[in-house]
Formats: sequence, structure tokens, C-alpha cells
Amino acid sequence: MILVVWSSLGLQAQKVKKQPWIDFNPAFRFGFQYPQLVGSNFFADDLTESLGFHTSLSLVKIANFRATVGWELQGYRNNNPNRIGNFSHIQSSTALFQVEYEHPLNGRWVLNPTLAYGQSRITYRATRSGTTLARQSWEEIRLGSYANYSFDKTFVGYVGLHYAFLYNSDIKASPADEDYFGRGNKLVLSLGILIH
Amino acid sequence: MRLLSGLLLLFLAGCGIPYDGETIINIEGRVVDAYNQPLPNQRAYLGASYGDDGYDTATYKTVTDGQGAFRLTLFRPNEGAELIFEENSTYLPLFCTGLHTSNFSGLQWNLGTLVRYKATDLVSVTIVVNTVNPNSILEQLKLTGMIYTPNYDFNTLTTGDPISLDYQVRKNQTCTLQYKVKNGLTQQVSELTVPLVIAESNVTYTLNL
Repeated sequence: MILVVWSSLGLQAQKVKKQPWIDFNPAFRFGFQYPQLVGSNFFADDLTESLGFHTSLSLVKIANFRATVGWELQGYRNNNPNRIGNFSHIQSSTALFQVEYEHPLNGRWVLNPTLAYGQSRITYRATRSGTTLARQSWEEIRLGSYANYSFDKTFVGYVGLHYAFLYNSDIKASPADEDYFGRGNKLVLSLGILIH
Repeated sequence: MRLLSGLLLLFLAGCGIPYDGETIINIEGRVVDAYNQPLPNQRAYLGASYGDDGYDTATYKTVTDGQGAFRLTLFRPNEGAELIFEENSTYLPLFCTGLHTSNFSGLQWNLGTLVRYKATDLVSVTIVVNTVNPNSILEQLKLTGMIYTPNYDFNTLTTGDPISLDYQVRKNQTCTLQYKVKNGLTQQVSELTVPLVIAESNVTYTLNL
């Protein structure tokens, strides 16, 4: 009887495998994104979005939270040369610092709500690869979530939806121009692969 | 991190980029003809220097409205810039130079009223200096009135040539010739003015000192 009890206890111990509090399980995310500019501002009124690229890396998970650093490259086309100049192409390069939480939904699906802070350098060019005519520094606060689907232990596909508020606190302009040219909002739809 | 980005931007701004993307200004003015009538549909573009020999003329253009007024919203030029009204079939060229932070303060740069002339509006005025008294030294000579110069210079540091003897002026007006004469013996400086009546023909005026 002691042997039966002892063996059943051992089986229970094998079933309940504890998740480590600190998990050195890197997560490398890369994919495409499409922003939808919204609001009444220079970005939404005078620019056209195009497909962008993003990537991010997290090295450790602590109690289901991850700190992630990421980078994005995004281009826009200028539709209104009379507004602030005849710049054909505007490029945004963004460094993002993100906190995300892994919330398992079931065996394969995980929801990753995220909160991020980003710093962007925006370059105004005469043509796509032409002379740089002006530069700006922007910041953004981004909130949203990824939904991850695990194909196996290593490869995960994801879609993401985020809302970002962009602002340029360095811009010097009249109050009306500062509001129009110094603020922006966008919804960002992303799609890509995450590798553990 | 933000300080580093700002410093990097500042450094890069000085490295051959024509415009300061962090400063938005408005350049405005009004264009009239030689008889103060507003000129609509006058086209102009901004020429901005940058770097060693860069010059951008494609980014900013404007056209005057029905009242002859124009307004440009733009990133502030990092170095000197000029607003250029090119010569066309009707009007002579006009270059508004000195568009720089050293000549304009704030974010609204008002160029005032700019006058465009037709070639048929103008006659030439030539001043001939005749030194009767050998002790007289002409120190300054300037004609004022409705005078055509291709270069409308906003540089406040530029005083121009102190003695100008040739002018293109609008017909049918009275100009004022202002000059300073110094007596080489007594060092006394006299300031004098002479009215010049301009009609339909070229004028040669002899100034006896």
C-alpha cells in the first residue's frame, strides 16, 4: 500500500511542472507592418502610408513579462507639396523600448499586450534615395497587443494591432502649426514570425 | 537618449542639410507693379544654400494670389536663402536675398511690398561728377525713388556701394539725389539733396562739386 501511495505521488509531481520565474528564452520577432494614419494633422492629411518593416528582440522572460528592444523602418509618400514642401519621400526610423506580457489563451495561442516608448528620426528627401533635405526627432507612446500562434516550440506566427500617439516636443512653430505638424496618431497592423 | 538624439541632429544639421526640420516659419509678402497695382500669378521659388556647394531650388515654390500676396510655410533654411522671381515675358527678374535668421526674428518673416518692373517702365539715370573745387571729396551718393534693382537685399549688415552713379528708374517721377561732400581742408562734411525730375527719356545729371 505504501508503494502504491508513493508511486502515485511521484506521478502527480511529474504532471505539475512549474514554470521558472526567470526564463532565459529569447524571442526574436520580425515582420511587416502597415500603419493607418488618423486624425487631422500633417501625417494623416498629407502623407500616404506604405508597407514597413519591424524587428524586435527579447532575451529573458520574468514572471511572464518581457522587456523588448525593437527597430522599425517606415516610409511615407508626400501627397501635398504645397503644405510643407516638395518632399517626395519621408522615411521614419524608430527605436522602440517595449514591455509585453505573455498571456496564454490555450495550448497554441498566446496574447501579448504591450506598452512601448519609441524614438524616431524622420528624414525628408527629395526622392526615395535622394538628397536629405530636413530631419526631425519624434517620440511615440504605443499600446496594443500581439496574438501569437505557435507552430512548434521554435516558430510562432503573429498578428499585431497597436495604437500609437506621436509627438515632436522639439518643434518650434506657431501654435496652429505646432499642433498640425507636431502631433500624429496611427493604428499599426503587423504580421510576422517570432522565433524562440 | 533624447539629448544624444538632439545633439546628433544638431551635428547633422550643420553637415549639409538645407532646412531645419524642427523649425517651421512663414514667409509672406506682397508683389506690386511699378504703379503699386497688385500682381497676381507671379511665380517664385526659394533658393537655399547648404554645405560646401549645395543649392536647393525644388522644394519651395509659391504663386501670388489675386491681391498680389504670397505665403510660404516651410522648414527654416539653415543657411542663407533667397526668394527668386525669375524674368518672364513681362517682368524683369527680382532676387530677394538675405533670408536668414540674422535678418529676421521670430517665425513670421514679412518681406513687405516687393515691386516688379517691366523694361518699358524704366529709363536710365547717369550721374556725372564734376569736381570744380579740388578740395571737395565726394563721400556718398545715392538716388532714392522708384528704382529698379534686381537684388532686393534684406541683409541689414550690407550698406551697399556708398557711391552709385548709374540707375534704372521708373519713368514719370521725381527722384531725390542725396550726397555727402567733404572739404579736404576743413574736414567739414556737407549733406545735400537735389530733386531730379524724370520724364520719358534717359537722364544724365552733372553734379558739380
